[in-house]
Amino acid sequence: MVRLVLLKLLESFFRHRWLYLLPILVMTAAAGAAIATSKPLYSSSGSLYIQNGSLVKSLNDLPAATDAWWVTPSQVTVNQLRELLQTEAFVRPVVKGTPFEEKLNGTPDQLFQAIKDVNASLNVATAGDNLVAFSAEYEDAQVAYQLARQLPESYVLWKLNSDRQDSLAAQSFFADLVAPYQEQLDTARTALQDYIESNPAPVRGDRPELERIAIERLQTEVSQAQTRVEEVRQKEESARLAQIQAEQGVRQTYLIIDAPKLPTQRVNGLKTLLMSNILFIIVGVILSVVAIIGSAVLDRSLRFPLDATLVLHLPVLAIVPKVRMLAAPVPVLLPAPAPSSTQQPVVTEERSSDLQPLVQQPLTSSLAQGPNE
Amino acid sequence: MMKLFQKRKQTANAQIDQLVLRSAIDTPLTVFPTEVIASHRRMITGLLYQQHIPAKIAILSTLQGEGVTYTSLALATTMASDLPKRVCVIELNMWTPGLMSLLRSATHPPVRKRLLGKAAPVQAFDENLLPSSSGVAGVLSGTTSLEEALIPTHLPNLMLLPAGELAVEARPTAARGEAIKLLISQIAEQFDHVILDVPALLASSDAIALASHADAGYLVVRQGVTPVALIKQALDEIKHISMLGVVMNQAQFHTPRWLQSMIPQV
Repeated sequence: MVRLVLLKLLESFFRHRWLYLLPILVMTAAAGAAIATSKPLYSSSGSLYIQNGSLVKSLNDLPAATDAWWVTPSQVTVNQLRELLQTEAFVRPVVKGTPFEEKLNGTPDQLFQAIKDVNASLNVATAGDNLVAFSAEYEDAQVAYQLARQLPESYVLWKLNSDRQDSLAAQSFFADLVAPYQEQLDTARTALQDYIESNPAPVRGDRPELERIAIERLQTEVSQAQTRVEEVRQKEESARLAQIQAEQGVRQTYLIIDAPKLPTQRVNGLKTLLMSNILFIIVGVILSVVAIIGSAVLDRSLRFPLDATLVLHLPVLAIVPKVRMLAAPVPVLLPAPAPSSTQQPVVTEERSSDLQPLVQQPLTSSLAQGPNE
Repeated sequence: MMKLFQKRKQTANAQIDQLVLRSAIDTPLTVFPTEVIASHRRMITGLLYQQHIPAKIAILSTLQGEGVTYTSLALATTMASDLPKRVCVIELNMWTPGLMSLLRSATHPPVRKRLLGKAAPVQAFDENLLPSSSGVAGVLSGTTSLEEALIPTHLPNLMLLPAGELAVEARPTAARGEAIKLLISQIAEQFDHVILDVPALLASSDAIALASHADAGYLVVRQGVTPVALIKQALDEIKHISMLGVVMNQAQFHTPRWLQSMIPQV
């Protein structure tokens, strides 16, 4: 049976070998066309290290920090970067100075397409728990380098901005409180001064009890107002310090380990292109193989002597090849002899002497009675 | 260049070796190519030395158009040409008779249509030179005698009996009647071998009745066309007939011979 299957597969292939080679040829041509039309591509890549300790605050500050504890800092960063790359606000500083920048200023459709193209050019992936690998590919080496350089920078700036906004809000809040508190302090001091001036201390003896109590009350009010002002000022300073610390923290948290470099060689060299386009040929081969097997499976005809012996259990007496119906050789087509001799058998003497007369006796009358009998 | 030379040489040899069946007045009737004759010659030799050639052989087929008539004529011509035996071909296929048109093939070869240019002109031929016969139908209906119905050939030991034209309603009766049995036995008495050209088994049940007149039979199968399932079905219907084997007709193997030889087929 294995022999029969092998024979059928071989016959199936050789029967329409050009047809079966067609998918391979077409896919090879497609691969060739893809190689011929491919533009040079340059890649610039780098890696960003995320400090674990300093990241805790940053992680907690994330508005959508619903990730589980087992999510690594690099995963959080990659997710954030991928999300941000969908936004115009983040993409704009990334593509600054590149051909994409002009596209961002177009119609909404062009903007959408530009963001899509930028995302296609940029690649961000985790390379470890704390390491993020990023790369940019473009037809121009300079642009690829620029994109790769600006991506982590923009991200860090975005992180700084988000922290700075918190600090600025705090600073502004406390700065706004300082003036009224100062005013209250000044009012309290003025009230104390006025009371002392209007009620001078006696030359002899102590102040009366009422005056003493009023002065103590006014002094307490002054000291309380002064405490409030000092506290507010201290908090404002703390907010400023927190901003500086946050900036420093972000800079320390996101550390570019491998800075992107200006690519000098194209990433899609001939060898790479050939290797990547070999998939076309593999698909072509698979298609051909499927077609050959399908054709062999669907062919239920008797095709080989082995079929007859194995399936029909009959010997093959002869294999008559397919030949074209032949005409008689030209010299034989001679003009017709006399019509009288048309039905007369011409029997050579040698052969006729060996054989008995072929029709010796007439048929019985029963044969001539017709088929209905 | 070498291949072209070899091809020309082969063509020349083929013309020398091909067997031309002629009428009694030497009109070419059918030309059998070398390969066809060689394959039938091998079959006859095999049957002759391995077992024996039955007196009445039914040439059977599953479906129409498998080449039964052609194979019958080729077998008979080869047998008559190679063996000192009297051979007669009886065409029992009254449903789709093909013997008479086959006898015209040498002088009226099928015209091959050409896409471009004009087709080759058909050579004018005197139709009186070709044999005619009312065949089995004529004998059965009594309009002609067997002697008149038989077509002699240039081989003195080969005669042909075409089917003729029989009314459609009379065919089933004729196939199962005593008259045809008597006719076959009558012919069998006068010939060493009678070759019965039987209609397709799945086309008409009459074929089973007609095939039953033979001592043995073999099945002509069109290679790569006839489904195995139908062949099995046809064989099931003629279990009572001794089967000699299968003849693969119009065979065409595309796998290179050297590759085929690596896979034993016996």
